[in-house]
Amino acid sequence: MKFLKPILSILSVAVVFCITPINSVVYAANMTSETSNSNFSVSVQNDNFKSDYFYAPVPLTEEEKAAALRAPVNPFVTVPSKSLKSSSDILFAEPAIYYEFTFLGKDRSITSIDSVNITEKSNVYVSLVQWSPSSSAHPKLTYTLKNANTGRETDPITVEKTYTSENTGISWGNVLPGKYHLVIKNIGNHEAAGNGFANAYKIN
Amino acid sequence: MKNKIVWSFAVCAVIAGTSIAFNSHASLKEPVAAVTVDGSIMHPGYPSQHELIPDPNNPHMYAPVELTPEEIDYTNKRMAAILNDHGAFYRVAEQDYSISEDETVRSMDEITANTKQLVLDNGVFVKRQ
Repeated sequence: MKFLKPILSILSVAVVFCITPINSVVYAANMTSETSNSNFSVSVQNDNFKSDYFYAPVPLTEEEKAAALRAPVNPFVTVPSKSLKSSSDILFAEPAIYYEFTFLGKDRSITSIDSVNITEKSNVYVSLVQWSPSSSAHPKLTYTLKNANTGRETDPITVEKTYTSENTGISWGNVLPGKYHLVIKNIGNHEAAGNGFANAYKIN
Repeated sequence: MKNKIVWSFAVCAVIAGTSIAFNSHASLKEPVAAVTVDGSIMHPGYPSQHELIPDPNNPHMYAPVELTPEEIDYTNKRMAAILNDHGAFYRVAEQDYSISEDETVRSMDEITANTKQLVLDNGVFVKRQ
């Protein structure tokens, strides 16, 4: 009994430690620093600038400055989770598809280079952020999975909302075996930017 | 005294170990989706002639392609769900007349927090909680 008190004290500290979650999954998808801008074609010399890691600075247009001010500072994707599963329930330890884009014009479509290759019926989940870099309006994007071999597509899901400080998730259940690319279409009236990742999960 | 210290360390080690083991599997949980639709329903896709070419400015995506009005119309008519500020709306076969007119809108511009049904040119969508 004389050990009970110190053990209980330690237990309470340990329980507090235990229930503080180690950050589950954070797939940094910050695109702002890496995505190149096709307008960056003119280089100017700046005497004060020195870096071994960057090309010389280029002047920004007024439009680019305005867009930079409107763009979120550090959007990133995190994964909320539903239920604890065994390690055998996930098909890929890392996201099968990772993507990012910016200034996707109205009525434009893009296809991911990565693909998710599933060998049995699975649930495919996309975690995403999206915004309009040149407007305060919500972007309107549709997301579809396209079979790389047959060209057949899942029904599109439209996301007409800005997600920056937090991500959202969309998913297709019971996707048939095959290799799928993610297709994103801008059907809104404004340019769009976004990033995210996709993965497949076994069906319980 | 020595026993106390040994026991304390032992208990801490077991609990901390369990905690770390539990949390390290967090990445294996299936994420929660705001919208889920049936992925077993596949359609041919619009018979476009878009050629997928690498985008020198983006290593993650093929270069953007321009959508024709027909393709946009095709996409709108296939749309299975819409996620927006007011919730997730799923395509249904026909209008649900049990939902009042006050809770039904016929344009995305009219949507409010009270809206439960969208009757649009490209189909009918009902809000699911």
